[in-house]
Amino acid sequence: METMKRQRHWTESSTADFVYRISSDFIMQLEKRLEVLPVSQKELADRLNVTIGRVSQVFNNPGNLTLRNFVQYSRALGMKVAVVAYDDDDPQNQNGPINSDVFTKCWERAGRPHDFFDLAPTPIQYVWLSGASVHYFRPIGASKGLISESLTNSFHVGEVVNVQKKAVTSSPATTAMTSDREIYA
Amino acid sequence: MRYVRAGMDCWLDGQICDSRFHGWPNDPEHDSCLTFKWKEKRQHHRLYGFLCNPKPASNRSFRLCVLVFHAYKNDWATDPTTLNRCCLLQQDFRTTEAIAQVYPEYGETYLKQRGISKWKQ
Repeated sequence: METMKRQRHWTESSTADFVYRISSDFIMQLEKRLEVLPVSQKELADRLNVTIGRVSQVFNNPGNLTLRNFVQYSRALGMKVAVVAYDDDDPQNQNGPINSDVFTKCWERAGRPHDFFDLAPTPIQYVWLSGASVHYFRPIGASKGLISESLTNSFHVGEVVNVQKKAVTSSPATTAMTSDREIYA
Repeated sequence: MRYVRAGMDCWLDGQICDSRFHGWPNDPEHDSCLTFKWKEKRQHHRLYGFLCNPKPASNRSFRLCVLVFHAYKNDWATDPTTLNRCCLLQQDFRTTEAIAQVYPEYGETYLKQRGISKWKQ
């Protein structure tokens, strides 16, 4: 989004301001979680063994949250926390921090990877060429390149499937398959 | 005011966060209005404003939020006269003139629509 030119974002004034902003992002994530579950602030207070006044105070003024609080509040709502350092090519902090929900959305879009094996390659789309007896895939945009066989599930001819590399520790490192039509090669 | 600033950042980022700010997209009369919300010492506060596009020719998706007044909020429902005031201010020539000082294109479009050659000195 195009915005007016600014010399410095307000979070550049002090470390406390920057901390406030990222804490505020965190609280907004919790607010959404409370709404989705749904859980009231009173119930959250009970889970944390604090008063509802304390929860309300934290939600209205999150500037003094500690990393320990971050973990406690997230865990109380069945969530986890990651602390992420990143370089957004904005060393002067003219644009302020990236909203933490952006990172969450990206993580979800990437298929919620748990480790670097999950992350490794960008899925390649293949098209299913034949029926039940001969199981071959052809990479979209390529004339040849059969990569897989002996698959147990059948696909429709012309169906597009995603093929991902996955770490394989045993057996021929070519074919494994899951029921949700993802194929690991 | 860090709470409000953080809420404004969310709006700038394109995030939806009704607890910090919201508009009235389902109210055709006030669908350009926007409010930022916060609570301080048990008192609910509101900053009301309106959305407009100050670059109608060069960037059609650009949105500017012009905050026009502050109010205390003691009732659940928003007083429609408050939003009407926002809309009136949006139409006010002086508001347009003020926006045009930052975004000349806004003023040029305004003048062109009304067949006026330049701002009155």
